Amino acid sequence: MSGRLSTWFNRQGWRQIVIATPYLWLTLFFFLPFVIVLAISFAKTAPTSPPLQYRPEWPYVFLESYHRLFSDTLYVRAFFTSIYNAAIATILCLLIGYPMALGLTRVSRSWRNLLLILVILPFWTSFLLRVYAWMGMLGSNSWFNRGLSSVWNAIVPADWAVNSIPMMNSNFAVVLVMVYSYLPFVILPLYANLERLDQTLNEAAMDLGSKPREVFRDITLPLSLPGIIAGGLLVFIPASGELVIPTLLGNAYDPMIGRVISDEFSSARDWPMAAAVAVALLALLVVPMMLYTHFESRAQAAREKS
Amino acid sequence: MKHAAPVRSLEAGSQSAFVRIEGVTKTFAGIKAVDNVSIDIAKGELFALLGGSGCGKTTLLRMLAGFEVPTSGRIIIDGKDMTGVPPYERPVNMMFQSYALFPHMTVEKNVAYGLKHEKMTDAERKDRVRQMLDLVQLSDLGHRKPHQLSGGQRQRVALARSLAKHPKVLLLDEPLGALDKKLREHTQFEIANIQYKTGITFIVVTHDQEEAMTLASRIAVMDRGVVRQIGTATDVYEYPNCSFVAGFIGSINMFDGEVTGIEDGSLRAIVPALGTEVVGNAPSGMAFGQKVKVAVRPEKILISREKPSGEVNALEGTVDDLGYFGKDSLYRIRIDTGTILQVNNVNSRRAKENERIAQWEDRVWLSFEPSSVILLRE
Repeated sequence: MSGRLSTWFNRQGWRQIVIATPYLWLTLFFFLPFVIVLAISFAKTAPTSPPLQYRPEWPYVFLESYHRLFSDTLYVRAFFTSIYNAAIATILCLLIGYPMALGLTRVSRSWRNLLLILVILPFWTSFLLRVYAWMGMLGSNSWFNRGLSSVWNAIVPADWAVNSIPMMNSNFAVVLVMVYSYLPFVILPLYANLERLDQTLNEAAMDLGSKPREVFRDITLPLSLPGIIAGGLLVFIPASGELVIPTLLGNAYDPMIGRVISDEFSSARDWPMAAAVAVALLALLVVPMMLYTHFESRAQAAREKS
Repeated sequence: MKHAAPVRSLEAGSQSAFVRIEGVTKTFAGIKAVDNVSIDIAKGELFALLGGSGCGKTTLLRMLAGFEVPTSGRIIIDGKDMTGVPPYERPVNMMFQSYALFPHMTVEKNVAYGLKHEKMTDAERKDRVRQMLDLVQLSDLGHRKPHQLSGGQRQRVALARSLAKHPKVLLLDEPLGALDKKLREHTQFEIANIQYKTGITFIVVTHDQEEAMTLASRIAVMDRGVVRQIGTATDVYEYPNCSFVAGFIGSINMFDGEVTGIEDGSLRAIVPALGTEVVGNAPSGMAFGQKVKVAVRPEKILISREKPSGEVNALEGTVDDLGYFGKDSLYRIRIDTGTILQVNNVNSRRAKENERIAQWEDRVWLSFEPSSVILLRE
């Protein structure tokens, strides 16, 4: 039966269709839009519809947008803020997520399933709703902020006392909520990686004289590197282009790049500038992306060999 | 073939014990995996823990390594009580069944791993690694990663790594379990050879009786957490002390009987399954009327066309089945009570198929010496 099915499958050219589908999808919905964005970035804003125009003579393009990318410190600063926030969030996610993932592999089966569900549970409520919840908590009049303030006031000298702790509209809030939102993306690949590790390797290292701390350093940590990289990139890449969190929780003077793109498109109606920033961001993210695929394929090859 | 150190029979509690397991019990969720086991092992011995799966041999080995803590009892190695000593501080190394080689390290790094905790110079460390790789004949493959090695090579790396620290005791968990038959025989010899060269006390866990018998100077046969017998290969094969050991090691014809007479060191027992009396050498402490197990190994039974000259232990039967294995043949003889006896016949004479001693459906006589009969209390 399965033999006949596979013959039919191959004869009808289904195999080619199945293989071609994702490529077709990527071409239509990723490559083509990117080409359009790239094209727009070489235009100049104009009071027309769409609000852009090209140079009427050779070389038909304007490079103003790219020039402004480097000359106006807004953009460089926005890039820096984005990378900085994303990097801090990634490191914090790894520091918090690694022990959680490791813990998941060390508990009994039934506990493990329960804890895994708890890790995924936040996805069942709207992302936006969760960010709004954080806004409510961090705001100066919230019970959370007042509680924290009173704890602060109780332990510091009287002249350091505050009415509320300024947490909203800061990079601190942005990083905090990014860590909160992206934590599962670090836990899940790390768990998948750590769970596959052979526990007898730990016993072997211990048998050869290594204390538990040394076993972790020599065996578990190096063998979980693919998981660390996968989890780190799954946080870093979306975090550096994040729009919602910095818009709702960040401060307007230190925007992240996602917010800059959004503002250029909608408020400033400067499509070419927005497109140029988007292209630059993509270029910036392609590097870690390529690193990721490189490590993934290397790990894959190692797994297949062993 | 056997290079094992001189065999010393140790009485429990004797002073020369190097590894002493004293009344060790291990309970998992109320079930006794190891039940009050006491074993003394001499320095330089190659000792085997033999038993089927779930008999507690691996649990016992893991307690020696320190991965499991005995529920009660204690383990003493070279005069030091190991209670509360973590695995990384024990003078013991283990070769794991799965080898547990570190996949991200080269062969050299694997072997050197345990040495970084030793007080020695880099040159000494390098020297030791080279010695170990020479010992297992892998000097050329030091820069390979484990996944680039064959199963047999990985096994040797595991052995080299566990020997590198010169442990006082080496624990081997099913060391040949993952190898194919040809490689097994070769490696078996190699392990015995390395044990002889290094003089380290080896404790091998195995479910394979042939492996235990060829490798070990002494064997502890385990069953459901209990040690049934400790002795040399000859002891456990020829002189088993209970029906479990008799049945577990090799094949055997074993029947229920009852003692009908004891005189001048010889014992008669009526065996209903054979429809006759069997005569054997009387073990001590047997009494008239006692229920006994009467057992004879297949190769101890002679097969003949004519009625044997002896008066005792002779039976007549028909060839039910036969199998030819080259060096010997296995006959299944149905005697007149309907019981089937297994008989091994060494093919000491070169013969064609139609020239062999008996064919299917032939009437034959079976006989065995009284000294070959194993008599066991129920």
